[in-house]
Amino acid sequence: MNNYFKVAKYYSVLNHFIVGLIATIFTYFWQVPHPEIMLPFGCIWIIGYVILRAVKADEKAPKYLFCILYDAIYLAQVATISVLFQSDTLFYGLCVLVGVQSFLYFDKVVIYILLAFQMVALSIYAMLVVHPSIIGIIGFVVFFLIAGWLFVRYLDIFEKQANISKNHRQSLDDMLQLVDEKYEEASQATKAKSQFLANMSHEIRTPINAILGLNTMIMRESEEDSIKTYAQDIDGSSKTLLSLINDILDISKIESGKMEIIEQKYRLPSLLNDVINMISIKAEDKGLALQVDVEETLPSELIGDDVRIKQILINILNNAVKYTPKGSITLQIAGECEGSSARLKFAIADTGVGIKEEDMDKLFDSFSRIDEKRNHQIEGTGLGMSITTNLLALMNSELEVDSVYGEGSTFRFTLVQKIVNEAPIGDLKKRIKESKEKYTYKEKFIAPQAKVLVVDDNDINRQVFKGLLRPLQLQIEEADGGAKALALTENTKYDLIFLDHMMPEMDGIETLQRMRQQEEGKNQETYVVALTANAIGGAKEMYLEAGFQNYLSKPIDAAKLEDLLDEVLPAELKQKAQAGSKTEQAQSEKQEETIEFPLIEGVDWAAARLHLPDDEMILEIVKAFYYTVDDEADYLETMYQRLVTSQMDEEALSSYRIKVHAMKSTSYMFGAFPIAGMAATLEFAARDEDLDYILTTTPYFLVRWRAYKEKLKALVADGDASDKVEVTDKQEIVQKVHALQEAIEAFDMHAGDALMEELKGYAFSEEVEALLEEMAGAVMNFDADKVRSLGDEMISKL
Amino acid sequence: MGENILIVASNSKSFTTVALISALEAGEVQARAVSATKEDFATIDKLPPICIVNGGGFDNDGAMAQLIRLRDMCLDQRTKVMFVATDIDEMDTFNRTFAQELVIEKLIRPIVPAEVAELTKAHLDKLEQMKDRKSVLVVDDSGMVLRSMMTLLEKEYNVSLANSATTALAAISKHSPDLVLLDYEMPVISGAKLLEMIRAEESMRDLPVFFLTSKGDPETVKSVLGLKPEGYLLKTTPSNEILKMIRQFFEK
Repeated sequence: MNNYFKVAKYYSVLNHFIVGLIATIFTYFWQVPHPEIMLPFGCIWIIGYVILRAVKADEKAPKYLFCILYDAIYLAQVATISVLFQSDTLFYGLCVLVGVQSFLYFDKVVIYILLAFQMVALSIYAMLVVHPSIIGIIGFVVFFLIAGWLFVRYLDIFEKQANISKNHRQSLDDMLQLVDEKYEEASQATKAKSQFLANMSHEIRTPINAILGLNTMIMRESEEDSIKTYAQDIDGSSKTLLSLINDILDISKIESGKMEIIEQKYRLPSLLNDVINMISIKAEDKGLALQVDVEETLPSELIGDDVRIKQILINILNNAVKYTPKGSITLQIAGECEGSSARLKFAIADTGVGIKEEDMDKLFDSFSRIDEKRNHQIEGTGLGMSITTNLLALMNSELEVDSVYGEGSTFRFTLVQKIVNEAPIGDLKKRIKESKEKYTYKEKFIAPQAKVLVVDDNDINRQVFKGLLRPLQLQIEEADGGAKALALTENTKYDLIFLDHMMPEMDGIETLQRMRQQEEGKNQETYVVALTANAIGGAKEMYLEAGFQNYLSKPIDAAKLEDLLDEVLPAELKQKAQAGSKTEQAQSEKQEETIEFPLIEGVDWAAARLHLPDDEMILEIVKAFYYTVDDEADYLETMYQRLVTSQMDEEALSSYRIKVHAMKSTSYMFGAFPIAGMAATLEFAARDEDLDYILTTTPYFLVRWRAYKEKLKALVADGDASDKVEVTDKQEIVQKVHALQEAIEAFDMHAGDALMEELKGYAFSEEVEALLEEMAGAVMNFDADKVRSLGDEMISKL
Repeated sequence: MGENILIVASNSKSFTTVALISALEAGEVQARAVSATKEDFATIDKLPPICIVNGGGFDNDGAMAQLIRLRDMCLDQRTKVMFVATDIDEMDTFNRTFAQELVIEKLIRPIVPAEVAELTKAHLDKLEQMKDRKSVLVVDDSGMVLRSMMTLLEKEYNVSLANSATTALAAISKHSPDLVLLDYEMPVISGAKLLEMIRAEESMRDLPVFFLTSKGDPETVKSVLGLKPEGYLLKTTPSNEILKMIRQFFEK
């Protein structure tokens, strides 16, 4: 159809131009009748042509307008010719021609329009120019008849077309309706699911509360290390599980439209404090640097949803830590005052793996993770980002991401919060340090006189609660429902009551109200705390309104519980916890008793264990001692001999004192108290220049000192001779000896020891073995010169 | 030069070298190879954290000179070195040329490039971790004290040892420790004397020093404090306490 359109267009345009040109020339050069008509019409042709050429008529152009324009020019042409030839007949004939030409468009709508247009134009023309003559009228009638016939002829096609399009439209309408219905169904299904999940929040959180709470009790009370380790793993996994569930519940809340932004007053420094503390632990574990750059002029109290803001920041920072193998993470917060509000600009930058351009969109998709191949080892559901962006959208903000793949990313967002207190927050880093210090000095307390009532229909919840409070030694009573609780509160005055909200028969709120109304009740003024697993926004207000003084959300955080008790319990009920309490001791570093030391006269292993952290080290020290026994003794003996020769030898006395002092320290280290004691006396004698004592006691001391070698030999097993390897390659030994010499010169303990072990594994000649034995002592002492000389000697004797 | 590994070989296009480079890059470690005998090594002045010396062909004087130059640069820049020697003789040469404290790995061919790459990566990671650690120098004439302190502290800190005033001063300039534990009673130059020397030296004046002493009487304690050490530790204190005090010191 469009081809005909094009043909018609080209044909008529060319036509118009030529004829128009001719007509204009004629008009100019010849005396023609009605020049007032001719000229305008001629101009129409030329201008029309120019317009049509200038405007590119393609499928998108208003087709009908163009057709009419063409037709107008056609008619103008026809009219001019007729005037030129002074022939009406010619005029009408040409009109018919024009009418027929309309059908070239083969588009029923176009044809119809054109015919209508032509009729109107010609009527006007006829009335204006042509005398209304009989021929004229007949001509008109003929024209209309032809047009009409053609019209009718094509009417059915026209109708069919119309029908088809009507049918098309009908089926299109039907389809649209079907789509609408399906969409409604699907969105209802999603809503129903989300609704379901939101309601399940309570059901899901309760058992997790039980797991976490009971596990905390296991960690605290267990005395077996292996069980404690299992419990720690359970704790980690449960916390991960809880955070995953929270994510899923959040996203379903968002999707079912139930997520609300609850604005309330909050303190900016505490919010940032919590966030930074949480992230700095994770960053430190991974060896990443956390840089905090917060403007000091930010206002300290604002109005907003601090819970959700914290969630957003922690989400983004967690991601930053997760996807940054090494380097740093920077949290930058800047702010501007806008009247009574503050515009806070948050930016979180990292030096992590980055995001590719093409992956940017996937970033915000729920459940999809980017660069799976590379990042598949990183945990996570992929929900975090989606929750974050949704929360930001609810706060009229959005997340901006800049990233360079392989180098890092920066996440930015802006929040506008009303200011409550303009006082600047000051140096955050200092505050964090101070609060850390404050926290570590918090004293643990116990309150054996305090009476507490806990009301919860769930057995395990009550058990967990009691377990969490056990270290505080409170008197805890329980009730499994409102009725029992009321029976208790009527008779006993409690210092604090914990009421679960969701209970069958009588819920927490009703129980509270009844409690307050009890005539004989002793607890009308008692501090009551609500326990709830369904922490939605506005909870605090709701509970306060219902008459509670406070609320705790499950799973219950032991620290928060203790803080609350600390705040609420009156001072007279609180006592300082004893430092030596059972739990304290259990938590302090436990000595590992892994080696069974043989009973050796003169060695107190228990004392050694008090000084050294583990048995392995004790063994190391003993071995070292064993190998240096002779060296030390020889040196001391030399000094002793000098003093025998000359009592005035000050240098010898000084060296003696220093050496015996060292020998005292060493023997003390692994619990050889008798010899240490003797060395001490000798040291003081040297200090006091009591040469008599030195001269008489030293030989005896040296004998006992050297005797330790034999005593410790059993413990410092040298290995059977049969284990030793024959020397096949001398060069290998030489290489090792050289390496050993280098190692000791550099004080490289591990390398030196390793090489000594290797050398000890060889079967050498007696001479070399003896040298090796001496070498061991020198290695123990880091005596580089001796190691070097012994080493060279050994090599020469190989 | 963003790479973490430099491979120095007599021929930088040798099979082992090329295989090593591709194995390292597969493990996302950037590596570059230079030939010890050519100009490209002579112009290098900045070394990455780990250098792999790929042996073979180092038996001529020119290569040996370059090797010595490499050793000096490693000592200056604290670069660690891994040897891949062709045979025991060459390993011995390497051992003799390089100070042992720089050497973290000694391998003799044939090697499996992928395994070596993994080993290298592990070392790189460890070096990264260790970079951020504080370093402590322990000075005591008793080898046993040195050993026990090393065992106690090495898990949390980079520990260096010295057993006399001379070795202590050398260690201070080499390792730039963040804290020095100094024995009071030492032969020849006592701990007190050494501290005097340290305080007299411009570059070491502010070095924090803890005295290790087993003397409990007030006289010694007073004289010790006069030299402005950060404090003193009795050698008789149980080791957890010592560790705690050092930790506390660094937290300040």
